[in-house]
Amino acid sequence: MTKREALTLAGLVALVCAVFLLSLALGSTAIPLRRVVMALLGTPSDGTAALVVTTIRLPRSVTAMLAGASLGIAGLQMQTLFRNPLADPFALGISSGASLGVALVVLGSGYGAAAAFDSATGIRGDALITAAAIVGAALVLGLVLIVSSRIANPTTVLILGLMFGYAVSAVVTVLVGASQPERLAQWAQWGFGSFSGVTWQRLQLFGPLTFFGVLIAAATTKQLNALLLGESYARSMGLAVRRARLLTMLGASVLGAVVTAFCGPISFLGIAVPHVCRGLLSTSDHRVLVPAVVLMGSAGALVAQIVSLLPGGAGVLPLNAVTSLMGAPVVVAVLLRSRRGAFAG
Amino acid sequence: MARAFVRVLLLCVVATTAQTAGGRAANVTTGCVDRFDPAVDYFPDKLAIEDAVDVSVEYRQSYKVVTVSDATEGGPPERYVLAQCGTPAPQLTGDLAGAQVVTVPVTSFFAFSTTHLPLLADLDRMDVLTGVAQHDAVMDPKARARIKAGQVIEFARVGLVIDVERVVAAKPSLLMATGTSNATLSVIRQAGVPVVANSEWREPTALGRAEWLKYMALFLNEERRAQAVYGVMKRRYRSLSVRATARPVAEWPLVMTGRSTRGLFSIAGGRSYVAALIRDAGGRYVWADNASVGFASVDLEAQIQRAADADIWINGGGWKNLAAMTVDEPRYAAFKAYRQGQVWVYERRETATGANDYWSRSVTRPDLVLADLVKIFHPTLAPEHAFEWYMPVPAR
Repeated sequence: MTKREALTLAGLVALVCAVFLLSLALGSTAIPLRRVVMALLGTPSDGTAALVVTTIRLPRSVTAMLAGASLGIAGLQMQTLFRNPLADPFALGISSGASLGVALVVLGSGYGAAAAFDSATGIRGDALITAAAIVGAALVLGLVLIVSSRIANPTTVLILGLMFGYAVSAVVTVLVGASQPERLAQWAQWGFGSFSGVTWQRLQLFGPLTFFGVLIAAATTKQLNALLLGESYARSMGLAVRRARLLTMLGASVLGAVVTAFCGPISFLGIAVPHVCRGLLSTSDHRVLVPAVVLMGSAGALVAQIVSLLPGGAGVLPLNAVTSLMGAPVVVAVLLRSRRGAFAG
Repeated sequence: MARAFVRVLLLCVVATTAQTAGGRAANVTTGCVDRFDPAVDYFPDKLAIEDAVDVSVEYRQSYKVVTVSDATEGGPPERYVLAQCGTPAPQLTGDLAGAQVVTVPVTSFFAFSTTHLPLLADLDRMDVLTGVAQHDAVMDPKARARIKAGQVIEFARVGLVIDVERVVAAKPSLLMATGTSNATLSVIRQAGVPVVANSEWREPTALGRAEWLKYMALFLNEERRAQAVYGVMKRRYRSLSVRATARPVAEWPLVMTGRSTRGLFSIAGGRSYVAALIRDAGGRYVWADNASVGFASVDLEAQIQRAADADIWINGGGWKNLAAMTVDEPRYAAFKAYRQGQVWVYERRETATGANDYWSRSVTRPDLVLADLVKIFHPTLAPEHAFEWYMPVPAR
């Protein structure tokens, strides 16, 4: 690791800490900083302020960090795997699968899906939506993995994923077309994306899942570096290419699926964060990129969360819109400034 | 002032001529007039709009001019000319040129929304219903009987998308929609089927919404019945509201509304008819200063800051019991109304398939909604009232 890289990483750590604290201090209502600190330290104080900080802002910020890191890592893995700068965690149709699951229970209850699910599991509301998204994403993921284990060319796999996505989106569109307005409103709200729905209880599942996903990525940096140079080169280095490829695909897809299930579709962080980190560090070495992407992803998601509160009063901007609006110009700037191109070694 | 006086004078003269000419004392509610007499007022029964803000009517001898101010979102008001069947088509000039003409009384009626059906039911005129968007969504027993007898066709079965060919082929004398900005509707109009908007759902008060009963009556020449039905209902509403709001303010409970999805609370807006109902029932709404007319979304954090101490929580829904509520959203426990079991939903008459009688009948019966709310807010004021739609969410 060069001195510049070490400094950049240290800077990112400081950035994450600062934005994390800021996200706890800011919310849709004004709570004096002193109260926020008292609530965090567990000092008994005014009930409502403490409640808001510990049960709303804190889990929301932790969720944002985990989600941002996960999406960034998954994006990095997919871009490396397919050697395609436009690949993102959802390139294999994962978010379409999750959408289909949610669409079936939110829009398709006329078809008995929600009622059947309800009576079978007793799960309703947000938990039902999360469960449906996990099932939908897992089904598409399983299908893609089975097919791709028989296909050698990664580009073919990528195109297959895209086609899966189109087919699934078509089914969702049919469901949307046949829905009552009030159900459509609920469906639209899912598409906004949000870190606020992940409570401490759900974090007990969300936290470990994302943590292990990121751990897989951290443990496979050497394989990723080899894959970057092409599969034949990787093979000549003694890498079990097919296994490395499947493991990476599995890790990235699970991360994408878990985040989508708990937070709804959050676009662009997955594409933007790896590009920003490559531009910032001028390297494609995954041993540096992985920690950088984790930090930058966390910071990016937290900033998006803070920006989504901008309307003031009690209103909130759709998170998904904020990440896209923030992400697009950043990627353009990085691409234009980087002389060697973001994908050069 | 002078104009109003002239109009009153004119009305008197016309009324006298009508009496002397044909001895006609009531509007023609079925069929047409056989012989046209330009001196006759064909609408001796008239109605006046008292509470609705988006609809108004002017009577001319053989036709009525109805204005719906909110027919299209942000668009100009729409004007409809309702001409008595059997009288010559009125010469329309000025701002009435090109207005939608409807021959009244209508004999075959297509209702796009299920909320249009209670209007027919309250006027006891379900006999004109010949089309609904979707059969399955209909709950009214009389309408169901007509569907069973094959007298009512379905014209937007898939996805509430209007099947233009079915409508035009059936040629109803009127299609009522929830708004007229839809392109499909202008195609239907050009094919000769009159289309009018019903924007009852934009009214800021519950009484205003209910008064759209009179709007329906205009197309059926049922002015007399509408005036009576609405008058009785309004008196009940007012007298109960007067008693409820006469309670000392210290006894007015603090009321919150809505439910949370992923940390976003959808609530009734501060200028919605729900907010007006809370006020009329002697309650203080936590978001009374909110500027939204319909629904509004507020951050869960803001809702907790505002409503943590609310005494009563209404209009959530979809919960099996109190325990299931916190499984879905643990932070519901932050609300006092939740901890004290004061969570009320309008699901007393919900069928297994999720159809809810509240949505089809509450529009024209705000007096009953108000009575339910008064019984929740001030139980001693309405001891003999039996809950119509509201029930507390059971503990388990």
